[in-house]
Formats: sequence, structure tokens, C-alpha cells
Amino acid sequence: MYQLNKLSKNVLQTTRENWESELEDANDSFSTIGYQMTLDSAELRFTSKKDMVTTYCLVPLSGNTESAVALLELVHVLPGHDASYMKLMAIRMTPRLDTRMPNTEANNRLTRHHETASIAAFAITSVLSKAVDMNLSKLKIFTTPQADLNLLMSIFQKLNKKELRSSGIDVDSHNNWIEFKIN
Amino acid sequence: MATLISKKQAIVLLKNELEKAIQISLGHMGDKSHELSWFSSQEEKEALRLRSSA
Repeated sequence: MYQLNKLSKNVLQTTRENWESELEDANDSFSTIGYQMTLDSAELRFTSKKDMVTTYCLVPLSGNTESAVALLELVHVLPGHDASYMKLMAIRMTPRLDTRMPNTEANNRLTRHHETASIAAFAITSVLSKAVDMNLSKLKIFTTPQADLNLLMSIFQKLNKKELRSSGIDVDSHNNWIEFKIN
Repeated sequence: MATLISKKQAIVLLKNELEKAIQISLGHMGDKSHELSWFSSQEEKEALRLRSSA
């Protein structure tokens, strides 16, 4: 189980140490620039007042609770307005779940996919829950590149939306966005 | 339409359903799952392109 928190400097520092340690195993087999950019951008947001994005983190409830298993980039659009809503712009998982890591084997890959699915589902629904708590009108999830779009569109098209609709939440897709409308 | 279950209950159900569906889809993707933005990004693809063309 995990918890969604606004990223603190302490958690970012511990997360950076852990993620960089994990990335050492990559041995230059793939570019790690995306992970570095996510960490650097999160750090810059502590001082930048221009950036609309707020970084959130998913931390485990047990074990290393100070190191994030995922960083989330959220934008609160039109705060204070009736039409205020949330945008989930990006999710970045901990590098050890990346199947490009050289120690990935078939069984290990299944374990990683299981954990990745758990983190992704928790990330999406905890942000949706946050939007409900904040009485926002909707949550929009940005999906790019094509791999994200293919994965999430196919999943959301197959979802049983009956329970969601009966609770007052509707889900739809528009271009690169998946949209939860909260009634 | 009458509210049959609360939003929180619906979100819990959604989480379980999403988790299963994502796991199945990742299984279909296999090693290609790293192409998701959860692991890679446009910046990485650009870096790879530059490295391969150098």
C-alpha cells in the first residue's frame, strides 16, 4: 500500500539517492536522462514560482517510507473557480521497475509488471480521490507517447463504468486526454 | 440517476479493476513496457537518436 503526498525536500533527497543507486545498475545500457530530468524538475519547483506543476510522490506505507516509488506531476487549473479541475501530466516510476534494466529476467519482469500495475492504479485513483475531496469538476490525465495512449485507452474502454456512473463519476477520452467528470 | 454507491467506494472498485487491467496489458507489452512515459520520455528518445547518429 502507498500514500500520496506533496513532495517534500527530504523525500526528494532520499528518492534521488535511491533512484541514482538503482540507475547505476543500468551500466549505460540505456539513457537515464528522463529520470534525471524528473528529479531535477521536481527540485527546481521548490524555488520556481512560475511553474504551475506541483510534484507529488507515492511512498510506501511500510519499509522505506521516505523514498518515492513514483513521482507525479499535477496541475490545479483555475483554483477557486467553480470549473476548477486537476490535470495529471506525468507519472514517473522508480527505475528498478524499468524492464530495460540488465537484470530483468522473465520471472522478474512479471514481478515488476505486477508492482508497476499496482503503483499506476494507486496513482490514478488517489489523484481522482483527491479531486473528489477538493470538490473539483474533473480530472484529466494526459497520455503520451503512443504507448501510453494505446495502453490507457484500451483499458478505459473496457472498464465497467456502471459503478462509476452511479456514484456520479463519468470517464471519457478526448484526443490525448482521459477525462473523469465529477458530478 | 440515483447515487447507488459513494464516489469513494466507486474509486476503490476502479483501483482494483485498473490494477488487473494494467497488469494484463503490461504482460501483452512484455519488454516494450519501458516505452511508457512512466519509464521513458521524449528527452530519452531524442538522446538515443543523437547518440545513434553521432
